[in-house]
Amino acid sequence: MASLSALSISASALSLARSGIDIASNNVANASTAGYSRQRVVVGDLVLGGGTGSAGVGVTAIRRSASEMIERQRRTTQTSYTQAQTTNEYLSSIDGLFGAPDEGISQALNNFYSSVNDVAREPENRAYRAGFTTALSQVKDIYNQLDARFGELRQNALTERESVVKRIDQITSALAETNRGIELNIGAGHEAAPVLLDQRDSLLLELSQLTKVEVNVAETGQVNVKTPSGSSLVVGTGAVALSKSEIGAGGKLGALDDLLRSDLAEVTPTASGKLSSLASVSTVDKNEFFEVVDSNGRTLYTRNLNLALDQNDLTAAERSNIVSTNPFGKPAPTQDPNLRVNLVTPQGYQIRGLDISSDPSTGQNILTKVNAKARFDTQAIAVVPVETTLGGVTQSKGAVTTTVPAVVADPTQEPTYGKATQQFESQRLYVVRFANPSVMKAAGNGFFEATANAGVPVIIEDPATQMGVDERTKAFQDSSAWTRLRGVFEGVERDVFRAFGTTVQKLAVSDLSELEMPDAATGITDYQLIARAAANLTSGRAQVEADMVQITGEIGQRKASNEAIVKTLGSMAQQIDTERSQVSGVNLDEEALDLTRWQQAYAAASKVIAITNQMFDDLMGALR
Amino acid sequence: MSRVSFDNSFRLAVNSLGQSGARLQTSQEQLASSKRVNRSSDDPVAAPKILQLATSLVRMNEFDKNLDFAEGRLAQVSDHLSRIADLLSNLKEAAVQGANGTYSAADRASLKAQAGSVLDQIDSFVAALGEGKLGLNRTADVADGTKFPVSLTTTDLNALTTLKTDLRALIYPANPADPTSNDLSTAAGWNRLLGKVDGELALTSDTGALVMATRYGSFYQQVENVRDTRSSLRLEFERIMSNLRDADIAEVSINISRDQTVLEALQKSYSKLQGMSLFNFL
Repeated sequence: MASLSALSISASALSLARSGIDIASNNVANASTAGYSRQRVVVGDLVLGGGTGSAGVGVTAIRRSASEMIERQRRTTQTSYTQAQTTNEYLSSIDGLFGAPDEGISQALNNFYSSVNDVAREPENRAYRAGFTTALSQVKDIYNQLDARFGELRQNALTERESVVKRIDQITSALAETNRGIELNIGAGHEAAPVLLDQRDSLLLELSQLTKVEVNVAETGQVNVKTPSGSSLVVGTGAVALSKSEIGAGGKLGALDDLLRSDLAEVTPTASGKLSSLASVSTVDKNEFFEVVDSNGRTLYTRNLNLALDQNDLTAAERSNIVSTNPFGKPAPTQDPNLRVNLVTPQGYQIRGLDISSDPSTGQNILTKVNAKARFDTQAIAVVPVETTLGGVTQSKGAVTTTVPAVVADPTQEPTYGKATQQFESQRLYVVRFANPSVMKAAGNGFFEATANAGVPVIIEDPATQMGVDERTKAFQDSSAWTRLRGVFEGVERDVFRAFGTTVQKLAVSDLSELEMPDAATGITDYQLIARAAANLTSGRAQVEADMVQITGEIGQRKASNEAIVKTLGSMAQQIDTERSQVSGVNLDEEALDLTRWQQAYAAASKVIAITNQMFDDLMGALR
Repeated sequence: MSRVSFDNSFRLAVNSLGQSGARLQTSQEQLASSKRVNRSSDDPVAAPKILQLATSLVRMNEFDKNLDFAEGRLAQVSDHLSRIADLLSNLKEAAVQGANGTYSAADRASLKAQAGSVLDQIDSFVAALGEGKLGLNRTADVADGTKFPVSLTTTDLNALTTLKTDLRALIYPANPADPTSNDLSTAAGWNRLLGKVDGELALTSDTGALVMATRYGSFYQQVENVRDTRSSLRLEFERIMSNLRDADIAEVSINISRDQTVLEALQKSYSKLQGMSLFNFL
């Protein structure tokens, strides 16, 4: 009967209106939920069996308003944006370490060189000498603080990376669960639930912020996720943990990995070799001094054979006592006017056992420990430097003992292979050559031990690794800010040791008569030595200043460039979010209208039911 | 037709408020520090220039200290040398008189005593010039690549030492009885002394005391010239540095005022917008 049909049809309308109100209220409730996509009711006619008529109206599906294309764009943009943002945070920290261009590190270095100027001008002024050691201490303190801060930043980045990897694994597991939920929906004959799809999109977005991924969305709504290198992260209902060796190609992981390989890369000269080269190449003629340089690029000991004296101060007889040689084994003329041993630049070698903790402020000898171990990768020449004997004064005595067969020879003579232990009565320059370094290397014992008394250090020479000025410039530019900063400060330290040598002890002398006493052999006072050492120290100043200008400019440039990138990508991300919200966002006014629409539909259907009911009652009344 | 969702208007407002707040904070930082460039990234082009200028100014200060030192030392050195030159002039006067054939032995004896007194003074000045903990050949850097001597050189001191030795030999000969020795009791002796002194005062003599005094006096004058040049250069550097580094307080104040106005406008408009909804009328 028609009235009975009207009842069931109206009942279906009531049911539909209730569903519509539910959906609208759900939209209103989730208006500010991140990642929520507005849902809508898909309405369809209910058809009588056999298709003979309409049985009312029903909910065909509840779908969300979303665009897969927009979601994909959003993920891509967020990957780049988050990467730039993360890089910006760390660059801001690094930029902040340097402070204003004319303050912080630069100011400390300027103060230091000003104190050097004071000592060079008036070494008799005790206040200036004390000021110099104080300024040097301050420079070292600031450097140590900076170095520590860089270390902290690196550690922060490493810790953050661990957290990011953990979160990635959590997200991929959650995505696998979402895929399972969608599978169940499909298995039950329904479409994927909008809430699951929203959850899936939110997880994918967060994953894209953490690292760059490739997403394959199936028709069912399930996703498979891979890294750009092809490693699977999500395959159907299974999740795969991110490999530890995977290097991030974008997102936060990409930013952290880039930083850890560049600005926050650990300074390991054996890996890069650059710091060793940077620190060990002299800012003056590389043939001027010899020095002990370890694989960290630290100058452990330096000796200028003419003891910071000017060549004009020595007699011809004294000069002939001084031995100089070039690193390739050919002795230079003893009348070499430079009177210095050529620089040796060990690269990749490690010298341990030398006390490098002494510094000018304490007045200790640069070298107090005596055991040196070194590892050799190639046939190397160990040069044992000695001091000249001037006026018959022997500086110190020492011995070099090698644990593997070696040769200790006077470089001014033709080498003769002799015993492995050589006793030195006075310090002169000797060369230690290893008889069979390949055997030593194969045995895994790439060490030789040189035991020497104080003042007889051992330095290792690799003639193949001399670095020219142009190469140094390039190596400097290719290095991170941290590496370059270390190079600058260690260059200052090297210059101090080179200029002062053991004269540095004189700075702390309080008995002025000691300093005024001219040396019996040379007639030169310690004041003169100090003044000259300070004057020599300024030879490296121009390079230090140029390096600081370069580092400062580049740090600022990179930070500013990155900030511009962040702003641009931020605008793009905002634009895409706006587009998404236009499609998927909840407009409260629309929902309010929907509510009123469903309310009116409900009221109308109720009226129909009431009328039909009245008709039925009237009919029953008539039959009674 | 584009839709404006509830969440989108909120996010846009948050972003706008955040950006406006960040601009305000930057302006306030500039006002607090009076600097436009508080870190390298604030102006990556100006930052290295500021550093270079700051370093140059520091070096100028160092050179100024060295100039002061050089000035003081050179004043002393040139003063002593001038006094030596004056004393040599006095000695010359005495020598001219002593060489006068009409003078008696007593007159010459008196002149000799006078010459001896002059010699003693010359001795003391030469000794003073050779003293000092660092002694001789000291220089001071007063500009890039420019050193000024601030003490006598070994050569100059040796010349003065030789001078006083020679004068002593002429005034107090070892063997007055030797007819070939200088004897200031005779006109010939005074003539020899006069010749020696004339030689020292001759402008053609590079090692002469007068030329030496003039040379060190000119160093002193050059110190003054370097100082004058440097002071104008310093002003220029400071001006350039100020232009690059310092904030224009007026401009920063205007920026702060503008940013505050924008921030308030954003806040008010957002609060009004949030109140607008159809639900208010249902």
